[in-house]
Amino acid sequence: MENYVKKLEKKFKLNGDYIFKKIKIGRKTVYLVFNEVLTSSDYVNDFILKRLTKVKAKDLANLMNILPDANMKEIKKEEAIDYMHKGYIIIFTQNIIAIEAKASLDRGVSAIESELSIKGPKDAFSENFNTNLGLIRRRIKSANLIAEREEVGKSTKTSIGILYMSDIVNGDLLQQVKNKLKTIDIDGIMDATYLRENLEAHRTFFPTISSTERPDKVSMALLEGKIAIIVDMSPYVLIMPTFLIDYFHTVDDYYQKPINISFIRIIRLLAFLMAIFTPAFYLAVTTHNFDLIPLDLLLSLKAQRESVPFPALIEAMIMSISFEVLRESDIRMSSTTGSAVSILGGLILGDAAVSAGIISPIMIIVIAISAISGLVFPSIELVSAIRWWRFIMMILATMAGMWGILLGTVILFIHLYLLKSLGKPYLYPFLPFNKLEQKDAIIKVNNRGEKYRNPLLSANRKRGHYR
Amino acid sequence: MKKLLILPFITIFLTGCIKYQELNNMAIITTIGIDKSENTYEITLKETIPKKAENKVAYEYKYYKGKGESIEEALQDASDNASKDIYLRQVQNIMVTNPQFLKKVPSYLKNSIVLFRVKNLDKILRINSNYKYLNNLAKDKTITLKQYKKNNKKKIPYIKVYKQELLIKN
Repeated sequence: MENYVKKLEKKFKLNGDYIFKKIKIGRKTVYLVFNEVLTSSDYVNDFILKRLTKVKAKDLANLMNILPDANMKEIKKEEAIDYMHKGYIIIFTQNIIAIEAKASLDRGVSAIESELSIKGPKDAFSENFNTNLGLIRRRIKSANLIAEREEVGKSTKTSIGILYMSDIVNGDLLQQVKNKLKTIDIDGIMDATYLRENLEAHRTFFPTISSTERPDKVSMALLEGKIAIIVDMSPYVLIMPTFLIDYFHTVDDYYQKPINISFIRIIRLLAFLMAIFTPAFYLAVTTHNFDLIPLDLLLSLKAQRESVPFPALIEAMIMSISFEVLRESDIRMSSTTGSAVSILGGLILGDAAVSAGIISPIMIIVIAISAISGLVFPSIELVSAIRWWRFIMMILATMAGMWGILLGTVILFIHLYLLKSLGKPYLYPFLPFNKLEQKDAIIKVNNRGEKYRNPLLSANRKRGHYR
Repeated sequence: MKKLLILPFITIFLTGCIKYQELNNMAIITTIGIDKSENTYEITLKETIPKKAENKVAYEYKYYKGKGESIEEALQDASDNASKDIYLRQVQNIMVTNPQFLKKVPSYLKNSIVLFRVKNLDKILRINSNYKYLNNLAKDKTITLKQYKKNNKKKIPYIKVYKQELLIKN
């Protein structure tokens, strides 16, 4: 045992945070090995060292019963390093014991930042695996909530948890997820999004797996028969499979009156269409289909464009790219400087560009409507998909006017129709059409009205009875 | 699948039925004047050029002339003489010295065009008045191309100039 500890000491000699402590108990020597950054020094001093010094030499073999810790296990020699990196203290006596003494390195449960809601819970996931799992378990107090643990990443050995409701989940889906996770061959994962590449559909701008920082959203998804993946050190949890319509829903929808939610969902659908088609429609009517707008408006548009030296497409591209640059800088900047960037970019630059005759006022309106409509959705992946399709539609509209938009729409529709999320159709419940599922698609009925689960996700379709 | 996508692309882009035009390079014609001397039609196209003035749009006008044995030929000639692309799909008024010419008006011109009879075409066209002013002036006497095609015995309002002002008469 002594030789092995010396070997470890030699291995980590360049690191100052690995502690190798030798304690003499009678004639016997006990070695304590741990990483001081990953372990709680209070715990090490108060609960291990204090108690260990009182232990007699004859009791060393019975150490497992003497030191109190819920998470204490006897491990093999080769597992010692891994456990040390997980925040365990390794005690080398006749056998090797690992005692959990993790330091609290996370920021605790904080408020939601990116998926804000007016009503409902405000707690968000953090970087701590156990906290995240706890936030879900507090909501679903059922033995059927399974959290299978695995490790991913050769160097990072990141803990991931596959969460599902054993009485609801579709077995084929679960197996598919497990099989895909097995194919992951990577050095390390820093965030849940690293797993997306292996689990998501390729060759599409649209997200087929959603990620969320809301525990209530994950709980809802699990009760629907979906599968969630928690990744240690990631404040986002992956939910799969995901349908396009899921992006038009927010958790807020389930905390407010259904009649109001139906209206908001129609607005979101319009916003989705406006975000993709507004600049394309403007380009089509100002470069091809002049007949579609009344003469007064046509003359007004011409008056606004008279000083602009660029073709309409270039003008639209300049504005769109400027907006994306502004948005990107706004995200990266701290909140104090961010507002200054917004004022400079949005107000001063916009006004100056119009005055200088580089951009027409109507183009600013068109791009602003399109960009703001896109930002209705909290999913950054969907916003990116919208952005790509906006550019595609703009180019097609410039090339062929309304015919180009029609062609683009057909391509977009076929693409979405063929798209699958873990083998399930992305346009569900519209294609294939399911009448029962329409109760929570665009029009929302009372939560009591949704008696059945999504048949694609669960064989156990009947929900619990409401009293 | 890819072949299926190529087909509509080819149909749209290679058939030549689409034409890219920049709004700035387009002459929006709002009024057409038709006259005839001997056997030649003389066409005058009045382009409305919007100019951005403070908080409103002001209008300037530009004229293109063309001659031909038919109205279409004369329109083509006027288009050829213009430095910009001529846009005739939103013409609002047609002024003719003789209502008989209206029988030869090309079918692609909108049926909602308001008709006027004039004597001195050139003088009336060059008075700074936009199409809205003329249509308001005619009020209940207005007759559209569609109405005239249905019943060519209907009277087309007559415009004349009196002290630099336009007057409408039946």
